[in-house]
Amino acid sequence: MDKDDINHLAPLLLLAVRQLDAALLDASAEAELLSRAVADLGVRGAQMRDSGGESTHAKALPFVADAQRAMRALQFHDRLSQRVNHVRDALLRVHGSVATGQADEWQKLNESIRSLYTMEDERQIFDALVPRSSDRDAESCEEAQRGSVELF
Amino acid sequence: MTRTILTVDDSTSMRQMVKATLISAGYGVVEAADGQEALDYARENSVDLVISDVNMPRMDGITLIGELRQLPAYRLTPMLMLTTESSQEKKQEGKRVGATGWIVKPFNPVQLLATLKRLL
Repeated sequence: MDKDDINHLAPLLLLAVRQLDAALLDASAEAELLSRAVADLGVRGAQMRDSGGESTHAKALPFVADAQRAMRALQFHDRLSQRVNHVRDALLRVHGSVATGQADEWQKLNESIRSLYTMEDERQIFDALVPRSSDRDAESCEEAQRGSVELF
Repeated sequence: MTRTILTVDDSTSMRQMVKATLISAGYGVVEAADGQEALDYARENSVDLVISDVNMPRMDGITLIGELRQLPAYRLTPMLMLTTESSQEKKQEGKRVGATGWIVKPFNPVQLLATLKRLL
């Protein structure tokens, strides 16, 4: 990569980082409003379930179940934010490496970026696309892990 | 007597959903936005169970659990990690510092309440 390439690439990488920052900020305010509304509905449903008569109790049960399903689904925002943040941090590292002229240490950079991806499906994608320097342990399927509870 | 649960997460929406789940089952809830805030609270107050995220600013969840286990009042308190991280390496780290269990997000409210019932 010559100096001209670097002069063009570095600001583009930084631009991508800033765009992701803006997108995260934009989404988080709305996600908070939405999750607060769903959480409030869940609490109100539980209050109806626990304090009303038999008929109110029966009517409240599906309401509570719906709120619980919505609360589970809404956690997509937390997972998505973390994944976007991992990509953002990786881009920032590539930018740092390119801007300081250390782009020849790709292997080191690759490993440093891999360590940012802390979810197993992120690592599987990374390992599928980025050349490996050493054997890495096979990791279990992320999909199967979601929502799992393990007591030690 | 109402059991009090300390929930620690830097995501406001996650805290809201955990709190709503716990309140709807009759638990008292105290929130903290990071490990340091949780530790400061725990030093001055007692709670019956801790649910903590792993990746947070100022102090992460693994460090928090390790610090809490050093406090005599928290030696036997159940402490659950609630996180997107699912690697065995991280889980072992949590186990080593004294976490009671590991829940991978997204949590299922019904399953979370069943787990708490077992632990309290």
